[in-house]
Amino acid sequence: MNIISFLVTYLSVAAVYALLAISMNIDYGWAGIPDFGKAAFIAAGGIAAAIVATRIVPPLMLHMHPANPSKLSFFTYYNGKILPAITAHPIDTWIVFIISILLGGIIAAGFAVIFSYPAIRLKEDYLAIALLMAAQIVWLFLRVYTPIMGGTMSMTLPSPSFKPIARALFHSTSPSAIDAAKALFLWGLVGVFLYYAEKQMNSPFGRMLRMVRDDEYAAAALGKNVARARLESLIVASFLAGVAGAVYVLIHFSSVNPDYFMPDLTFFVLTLVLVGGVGNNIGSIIGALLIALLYRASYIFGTSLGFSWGSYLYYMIIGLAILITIFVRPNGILPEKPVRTPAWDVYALVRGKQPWFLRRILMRGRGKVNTGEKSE
Amino acid sequence: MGVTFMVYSLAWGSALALMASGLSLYYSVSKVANFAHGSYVSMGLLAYLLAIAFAHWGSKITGFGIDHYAIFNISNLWALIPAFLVAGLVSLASFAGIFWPLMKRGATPLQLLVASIGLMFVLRFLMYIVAGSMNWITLWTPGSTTYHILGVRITLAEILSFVLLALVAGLIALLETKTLIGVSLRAIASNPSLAEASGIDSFKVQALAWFLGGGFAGLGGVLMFIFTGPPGGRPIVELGWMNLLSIFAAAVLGGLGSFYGTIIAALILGIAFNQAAAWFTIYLNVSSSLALLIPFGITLLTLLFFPQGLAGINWRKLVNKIRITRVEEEVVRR
Amino acid sequence: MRKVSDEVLIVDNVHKYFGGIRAVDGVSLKVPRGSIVGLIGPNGSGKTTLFNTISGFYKPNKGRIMFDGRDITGLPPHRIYKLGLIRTFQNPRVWRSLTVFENVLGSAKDQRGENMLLAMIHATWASQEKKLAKEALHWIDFTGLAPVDTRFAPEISGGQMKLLEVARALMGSAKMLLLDEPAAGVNPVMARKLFGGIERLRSEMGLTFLIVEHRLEILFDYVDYVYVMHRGRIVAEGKPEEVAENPVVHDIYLGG
Ligand SMILES: Nc1ncnc2c1ncn2[C@@H]1O[C@H](COP(=O)(O)OP(=O)(O)O)[C@@H](O)[C@H]1O
Ligand SMILES: [Mg+2]
Repeated sequence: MNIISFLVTYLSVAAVYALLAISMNIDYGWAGIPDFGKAAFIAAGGIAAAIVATRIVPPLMLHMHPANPSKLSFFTYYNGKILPAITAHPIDTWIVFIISILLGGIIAAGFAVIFSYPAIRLKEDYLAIALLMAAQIVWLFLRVYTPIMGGTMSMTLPSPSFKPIARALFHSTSPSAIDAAKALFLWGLVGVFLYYAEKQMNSPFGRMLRMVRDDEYAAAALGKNVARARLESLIVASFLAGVAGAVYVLIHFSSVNPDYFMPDLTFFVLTLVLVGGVGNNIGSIIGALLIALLYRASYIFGTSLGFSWGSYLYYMIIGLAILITIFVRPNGILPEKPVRTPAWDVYALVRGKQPWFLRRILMRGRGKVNTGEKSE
Repeated sequence: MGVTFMVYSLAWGSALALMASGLSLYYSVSKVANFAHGSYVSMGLLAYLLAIAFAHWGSKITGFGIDHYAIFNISNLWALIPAFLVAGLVSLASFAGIFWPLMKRGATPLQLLVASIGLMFVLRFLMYIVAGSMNWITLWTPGSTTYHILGVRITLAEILSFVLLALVAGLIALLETKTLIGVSLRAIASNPSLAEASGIDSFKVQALAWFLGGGFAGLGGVLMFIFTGPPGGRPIVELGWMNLLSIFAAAVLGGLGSFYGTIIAALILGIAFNQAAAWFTIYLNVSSSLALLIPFGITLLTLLFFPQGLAGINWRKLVNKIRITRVEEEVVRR
Repeated sequence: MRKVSDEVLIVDNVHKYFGGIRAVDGVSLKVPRGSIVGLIGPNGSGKTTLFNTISGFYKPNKGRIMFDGRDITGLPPHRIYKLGLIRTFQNPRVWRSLTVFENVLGSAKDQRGENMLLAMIHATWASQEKKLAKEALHWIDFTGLAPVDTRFAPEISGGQMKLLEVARALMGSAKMLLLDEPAAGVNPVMARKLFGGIERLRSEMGLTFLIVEHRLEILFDYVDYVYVMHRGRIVAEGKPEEVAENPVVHDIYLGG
């Protein structure tokens, strides 16, 4: 396998993980909610994509009857008629994509409103387990209730076509050009997520979430509506998880199957955030890049060993990554950054100096003030 | 469905109770929601199989061959001892090597929980090496000797699960009331800092709880495997993981850390799950795995109304606790 | 028209039980507007529990609490804060991932940028944020925390944390403050300074204070009126000099 194509595939995979990680960083990282139901929110994206491809787009745009995945005739009809009709026009595949990410986000946000009921009342341990059970219920339900995505039979989805983008960018529609266009697009999406998350976090809202996370009683005593803050962060994070879920099935897999959303997925995403740095968005992305590499490398290496257990080597890698992080760098590779708002400009103006951490981390490059004594 | 099935449901519930009460036992003193608990379950099963394999070394014990020897009968009962010991020691080691050091550093409950996820993955891989080397990645249940008592069909595994559960419950009761270490156990559970101040060796007491808790999980694992075989046709190593949520459901429903509450919850869930599974396949014609909806649903609903589980509702001495809402309890603890 | 009484806080026969423990057992007290009132009593007499009940962390089993002419019994803490009644914690509760400056700043009332959607539109909250930052610096100077204002909150000393608790409460535009042992762990010089500041706040801004404090020799120099609690009840009350001579109070403090 040539190195460029490995790199391009790897970057695409890492980008998808990064999207999931940023979402996890919002509710787990900022607000401290142990969102062990993440897999269910990601599944919402899968549900949306399946519904859009089978029931929304055919009647709306193709003047065809909707398809019902639980019917016996589904495969002949859907694979034979609907899929070719959608994929015939790149524009249509993108319409499917856009409706799917929006619907996925909305469904996930709806789940969040339901799940928030326990999230506001239960203690950490209980909450983590309750959310995990809820995710398991969603997974089991999708496996058994076939009308949504046909149970476990893996339904093909119309992946958005990157041909036009590849042609525009690289003047080529070779498979490698298409893969490169895909990777670029996905990283563009990561950029959008990152921009949003940074902006949302560096505000009084972001500061309030940290207050709620650090000490909810002090937050309540000083006027923060703790329940509401939790609900809002859960809704935002879940909306992004739903969007990421639609990307996950439409671009990463080009198909959908309930087993993509097994509750284990949550732990995988949690690992990305934990290793990268809880509360740090860039850290989440670095975690995704690193773990995706370790994951792929250990999978390739493990299977090449020729033992029946080799393909499970990645368990060891993920497990060790978690344990080493907790013991050696409990705050992850990139620790959390201070909240940056204009208040610090006022601080600098009034006090005539900037705090050392702002000079070092945030205002890099602006550097007008001399080197910082770590005020100790 | 009759008596036979009821007995089976209760026995299944007892196996679950063994696994879940182990979790509750060490949770009560260490407050770790340990996701690696499922690994102790699978460890117990692997130790049972390995012990029998060693006893029949030279015969065809790799692959499905082991099923022939590992049948649960009187002459194989001894293999429960290594199951208990191995699972208990692994549990003890994970406490001493991972959770205790983290607790000493003041790790938050969430950090402990996440560490346990890391441990779970590592242990799973180690078990895959063992299971893979013996070619045991997928196996069927070896089954159990069957008796007919008063017209009721009952297997040795079912009898054993009742007997073991009774023994375990009795052992803990004796320990807690009659021995110093049991009293220390309860002291730490109710007020860790006070207990430590009064000279109780917190590490020793917690270590004992982890050893017993892991051991109980291992025993439950063997029995559960005899009852249900490989979970959903997946690798036998996944036995613990596939049952982990049921274990947590029982522990949470019983009130995390409440030993007897957990046992009662597990029995309730065992009956609910198995009856629902039968009902689902017979009347609704849907997969019995969906029947997990019932125990999980019961647990979630209970939690919504009683955030502390059954222990918060029933137990006389804990009645006070539930009256004080969560906020109050926390504010005061500091 | 709302009836504005002279008493800004009225606690009327409040009971709070924990199972069998009657932590607060029928307390009634009144705090006149613009006064500094002390609440004393041995450890475990229920002072903190009373504060928790007034500030909405506990719901009383019985009794009523009126603040500024309004019934606040059973309101959640953040609503009580909005009405202008702010409490501090006996054991400081700081936000550990924020600096001292942000701890104070974040406690401000009605921040527009705390709305999830407005937070995305910088222009809607930036100018308010700047104004609040100036105010936060003012309270930091006032409490003498300036030397440590860029430290992360867990890095400062216990006494400084107590001062931070006070600074945060002041930042919330309170009408009345409930201070739970504000000078515990603060050295005597700083403690007197703090109480001097409290007196200034009362005279300049008309704030009202209800203060729990164990160091009676300092407290009695500043308060107008004192309530004495024992075993969940008010057992004595009066001007500081009256209370200081009350034999009941002596018995309680000597007898534990
Ligand atoms: N959440 C609680 N649960 C049980 N008992 C409590 C709780 N909070 C306070 N108490 C009890 O109530 C009594 C009063 O405590 P507290 O209000 O802290 O007293 P003070 O602040 O005057 O020292 C004490 O006996 C204490 O043990
Ligand atoms: Mg007190």
